[in-house]
Amino acid sequence: MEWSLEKMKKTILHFESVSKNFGGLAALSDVSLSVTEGDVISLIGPNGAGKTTLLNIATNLLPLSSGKVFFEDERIDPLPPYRIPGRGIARTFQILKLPLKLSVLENVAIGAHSRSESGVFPIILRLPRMRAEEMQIMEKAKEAIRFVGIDDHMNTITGHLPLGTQRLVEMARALMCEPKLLFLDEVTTGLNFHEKQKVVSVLQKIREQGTTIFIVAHDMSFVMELSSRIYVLNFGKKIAEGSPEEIRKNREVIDVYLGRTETNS
Amino acid sequence: MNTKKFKIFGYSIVLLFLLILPAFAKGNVMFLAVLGLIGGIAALGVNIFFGYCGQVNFGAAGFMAIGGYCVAFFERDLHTPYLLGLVLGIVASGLVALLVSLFLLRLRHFVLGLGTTAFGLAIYSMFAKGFTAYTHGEDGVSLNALHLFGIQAGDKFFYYVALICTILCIWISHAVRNSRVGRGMVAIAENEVAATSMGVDIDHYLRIALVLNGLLDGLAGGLLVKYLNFCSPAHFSLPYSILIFIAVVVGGAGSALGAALGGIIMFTINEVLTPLALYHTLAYGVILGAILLFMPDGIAGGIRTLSHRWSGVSRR
Amino acid sequence: MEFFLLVLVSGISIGSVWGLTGLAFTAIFNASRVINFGGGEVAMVGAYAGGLFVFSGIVPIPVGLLGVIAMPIVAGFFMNRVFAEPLVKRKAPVISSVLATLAAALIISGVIGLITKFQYFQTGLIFGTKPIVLGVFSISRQYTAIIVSVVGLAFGYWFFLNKTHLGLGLQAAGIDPDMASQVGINMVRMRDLAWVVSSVIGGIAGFLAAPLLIASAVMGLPLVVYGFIGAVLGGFGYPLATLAGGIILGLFVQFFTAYISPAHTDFLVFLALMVICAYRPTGILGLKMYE
Repeated sequence: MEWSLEKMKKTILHFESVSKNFGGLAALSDVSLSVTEGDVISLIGPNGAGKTTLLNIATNLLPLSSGKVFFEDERIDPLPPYRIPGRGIARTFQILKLPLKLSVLENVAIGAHSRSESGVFPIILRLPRMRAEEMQIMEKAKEAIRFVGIDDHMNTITGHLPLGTQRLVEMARALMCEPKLLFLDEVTTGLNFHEKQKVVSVLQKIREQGTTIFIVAHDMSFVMELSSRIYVLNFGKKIAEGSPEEIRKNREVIDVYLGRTETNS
Repeated sequence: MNTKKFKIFGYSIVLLFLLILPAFAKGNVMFLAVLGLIGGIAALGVNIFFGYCGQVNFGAAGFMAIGGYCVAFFERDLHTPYLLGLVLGIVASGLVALLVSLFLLRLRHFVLGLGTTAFGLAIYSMFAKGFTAYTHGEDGVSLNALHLFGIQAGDKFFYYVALICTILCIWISHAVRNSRVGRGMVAIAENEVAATSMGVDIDHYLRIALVLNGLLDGLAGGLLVKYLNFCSPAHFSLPYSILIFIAVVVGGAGSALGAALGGIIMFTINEVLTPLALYHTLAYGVILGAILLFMPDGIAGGIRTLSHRWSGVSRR
Repeated sequence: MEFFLLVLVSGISIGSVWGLTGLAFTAIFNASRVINFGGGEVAMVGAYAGGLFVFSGIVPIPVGLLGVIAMPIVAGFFMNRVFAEPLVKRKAPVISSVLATLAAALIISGVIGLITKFQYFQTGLIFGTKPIVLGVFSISRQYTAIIVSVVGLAFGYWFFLNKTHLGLGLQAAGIDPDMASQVGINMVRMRDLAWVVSSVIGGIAGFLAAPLLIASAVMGLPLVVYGFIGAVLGGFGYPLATLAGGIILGLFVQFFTAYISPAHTDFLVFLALMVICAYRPTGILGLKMYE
């Protein structure tokens, strides 16, 4: 029951009774959640709880079996996946999916794809409008690279960089589509302390700009530190939601994570 | 930057050499050069589909056949001037690519490679065995020699035309590659899921790539038949499709200059080995195998790695 | 009626050869996700070995048959160790394996071509020329031999895969390589095994087909193309479906050539392949996509 000031702020993302079945397996069952604009939300849960599935459904990489997804009060679940960035939703991936042979600058520049529009003809003929747009994209990419703090590596081949830096490249790339909502899938996994700090500071900066951040993670300290609200999934069902304090004290969540006797959940 | 000036200097030298080559070329060299350049154009076409988008095309000779046969038929039956016939051939090839893309682009990678092979073979058998009353099948169609202002166009003319076309195609390839479209294509090649999540409409871009492939290869075919004054299925068979593909791999998939170079090399070797026809197949196998095992990024990639090591770029 | 039977039997026979070629590279694909473009070359080596050892009468037939099996295995071993294995170790994409095996195929074809000067191989009808008479039907011995061998090979392959320790290990290796190696299955040896099995099947197919087709150093390419078409038709990755697909293709080609129009057969086959690739890439039997 959250009849509070929170409701005054806009709901930017809304999952309404979303379910996803793979054959006989229910990956998600009747999950509903709301994300308020400007917040930092985290989704946690044990392995296999359905977190990445939920993320894939939000970005339309997977079709849902039933339910609806609303972004800024408009249904987005029927859209083809490549239209999602244009709406203002960006995401990073748990297993890095960056073209490793390209330079950092090129990789980040790809991110502007949904925000630019030159077609093949203007490109081949190198019309002035296309050239201007190309310069704009490059400028923006350089800015994004500076924002996340990796300008030393602007022309380095992405494959040559350590994982922590690669994740920052991916974040810079995601920022290029001017997202209102940024999904981060296990963004701190595999990073050392120093790299994690860097990611956290970048996330603070992003949040200050007013972007809504949606984190899927395992790392509890990271989640607790940043989030204003946490959702917990287990076996595809939402079992808890609340502030970090409330979640910390929640019996069921503790059971699930410490693996005590499995009650019905 | 020093590397840039060096590059410009290097390219200028090569260009100069290419421009004055006809002056001191003897005997067969011109013939090889023209065929090599045509091979380069064909390879540039496949480079866009394979080098940029990462999709296999084993049917490139089919596009060449369409370009070539269009030129031949238009000349034989409608007496169209060559330039018009060539343009029509290119357009036809592009249209066929568009048509084929409608059903082949539901596939990816291996099965797409199989589909393109089927396409190449279908075109070949259509011209070689089907409809032979019209196409004269294996006998081919002969064309008149090209005459400009009363003079018969010879090796030198075709050489410069092919050279200009090659440079044009390299230019187009670069323009595409260094744009959002090109970046989108490379993203598709590396990981489709990532590309989609960045807003890339994969089907649309693959279609563009295949059509560009068709256009360029149609040009190559149209040039070839007029140069040889002969259009026959033998030049558009599966081995030729494979040769073009090998050329792209050898030269360096993803690099326009590399692909052009690969095309020139492979097609020249192809002609040079004709008297030694017995060694053809073995030679191709050895070249392809060597490149795959030792220089998987092709010649262009090898040069790039060398230049990086030389100037210590990736250290930064 | 006679003619119809002839077409039918020849269709089944040639289709079986294509099906076996398809079976050969399915074996490798299932074990290592490598697509062996050299499947036809292996068959060609089998045909060549046949010419060398069996049809020439230099050695007694049983010894010659050993040669027919041994040479393709050597060829396959070469292809695997030099070209395929290094790429699998590098975890290279499937496309690289296609190219590498293509290079290997070209080399083998080139070498044999050099040796034979691209002339036709020596072949012969070792089973005799008198047709086998079953009631009113008479079938040529060669066709009979092919059909019997195909049934035998298919059964043998099935038996090997499902009823022997090695075969089960091979299946496991293909389905989940990581798990298989953790259970103690030697992946390298499994892949070698897959190549050996594939080479035996391919080699025998080539040997049998030699009197029917125009056997020479270049016969590999059409075989592998038709083998692939048959595999896609039936269901890529599924041995029985691949075999069935090859036979269906063989029947189609023979009937079309005999009754409708030989000139347009190829064209239609390839057109049909494009369409099938597009709409039913998993084969007309509608099996699940293997990859």
